[in-house]
Amino acid sequence: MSPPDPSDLVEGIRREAQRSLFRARNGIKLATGAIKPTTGVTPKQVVWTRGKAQLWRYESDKRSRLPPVVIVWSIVSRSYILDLRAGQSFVQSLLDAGIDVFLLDWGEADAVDSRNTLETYVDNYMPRALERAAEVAGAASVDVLGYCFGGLMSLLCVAGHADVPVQNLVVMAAPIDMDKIEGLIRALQRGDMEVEDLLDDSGNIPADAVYRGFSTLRPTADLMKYATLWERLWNDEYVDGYQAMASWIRDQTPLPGGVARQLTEVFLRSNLAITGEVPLGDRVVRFADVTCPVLNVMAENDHMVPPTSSECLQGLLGSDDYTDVRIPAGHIGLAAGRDAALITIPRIIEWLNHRSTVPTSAV
Amino acid sequence: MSQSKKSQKSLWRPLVEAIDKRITPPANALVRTNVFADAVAIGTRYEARLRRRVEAQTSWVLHQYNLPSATDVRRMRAQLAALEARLRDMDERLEDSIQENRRAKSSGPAGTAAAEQK
Repeated sequence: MSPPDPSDLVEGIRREAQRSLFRARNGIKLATGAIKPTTGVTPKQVVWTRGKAQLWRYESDKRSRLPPVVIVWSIVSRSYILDLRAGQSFVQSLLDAGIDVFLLDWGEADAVDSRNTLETYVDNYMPRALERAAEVAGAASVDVLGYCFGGLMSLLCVAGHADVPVQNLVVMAAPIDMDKIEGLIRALQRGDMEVEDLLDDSGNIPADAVYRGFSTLRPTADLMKYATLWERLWNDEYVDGYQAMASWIRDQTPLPGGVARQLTEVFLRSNLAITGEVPLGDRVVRFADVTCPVLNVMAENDHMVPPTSSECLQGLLGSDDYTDVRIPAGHIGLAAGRDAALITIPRIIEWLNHRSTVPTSAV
Repeated sequence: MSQSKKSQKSLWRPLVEAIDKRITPPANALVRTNVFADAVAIGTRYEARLRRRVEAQTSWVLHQYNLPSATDVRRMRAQLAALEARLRDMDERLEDSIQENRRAKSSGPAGTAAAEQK
């Protein structure tokens, strides 16, 4: 073994001293909250609104295909994870591929929304928003991309509204078989906990309780997270990314009490989604009525919605064109981060382009 | 792993990784057990009961002095929210019917007759 080169040693000491300085600076900024992450960076316009729900159309001069894609977000978290920061944006990647991107955001439920049910979102808001997206884009139909619970809502909407012009449906990490979902949700499922015990003064399940429900699934996740943060605290770029992601994880939204009761009875306790027949309003919605092409995207390392919960979808649909794809990522990594950029997004774009070849001239 | 990445790794990192490797699987397994779910359920239930009991006692004291309690304020807020929700529903119905009329008008006399019938 050769003795260490003195110049390397000096260089190493100099680098570590510099990093310690940067660590101290960024550590103080983080601890005092002096740096606020900039999220939701892609410019957009509100093109439709009802209640707290808003339909956004992202600005782009690269639109080159129809139909537009409408992303239907989950009801319990913030949609800006899909447009987290420049260079880490699911939305921007779709725009770069020439897709006209819309996003249906549900907003933050308050006391007024506490009686909202799934029908409010699936029967009232979604069909109107999808029609508006087609109208604004000058298209006859839309492609729908539903994420997490938004995937289940998209299925219910497409199955329950034959008149809604949906050409292709993509569902990502959609919870279908609720028996496969683990964690505290089991207490609700077995009837050991009641929704009423979780509601706050507004009649909704508070965002804190939603966050606690998710975070207990990985009780030691913070250990490695903070170790990596400490190691790379000198790196401004890493700290920015860390802050954006960390603030999103804590930034959940309240779940309307009406939806929570319905979720518990219909999906958790009766697990009706795996039968493909879900009561909605005064009718039964059948997944077999989904006849458009369907792409079911699952995350292999998903600790919230494991692939076993989504894979049963295939046998329930009436579509002849069904594809499923498993991405080696987690629930969040499926839509944000390196795995999303390298694997998820290219697969989705390829699948959509294969089925959406109408060239756009009027966009 | 490249040499540069190796040199970026702190000396303490393997220790943290070893601890993580040791404690994460049992911790993940624990939070997925029925016992854990039951414990949280019991905690949540008792917290809710305790909160209700404290509120009832506080309300009783406040009501002795003719003062509104948190429960009264909550009831009023719930009523206001219900009223606002009804207004919102009416507003949405009105908006839908205006839209329908507009569509009917733009699709000609046959459409107008259909919209009027509705």
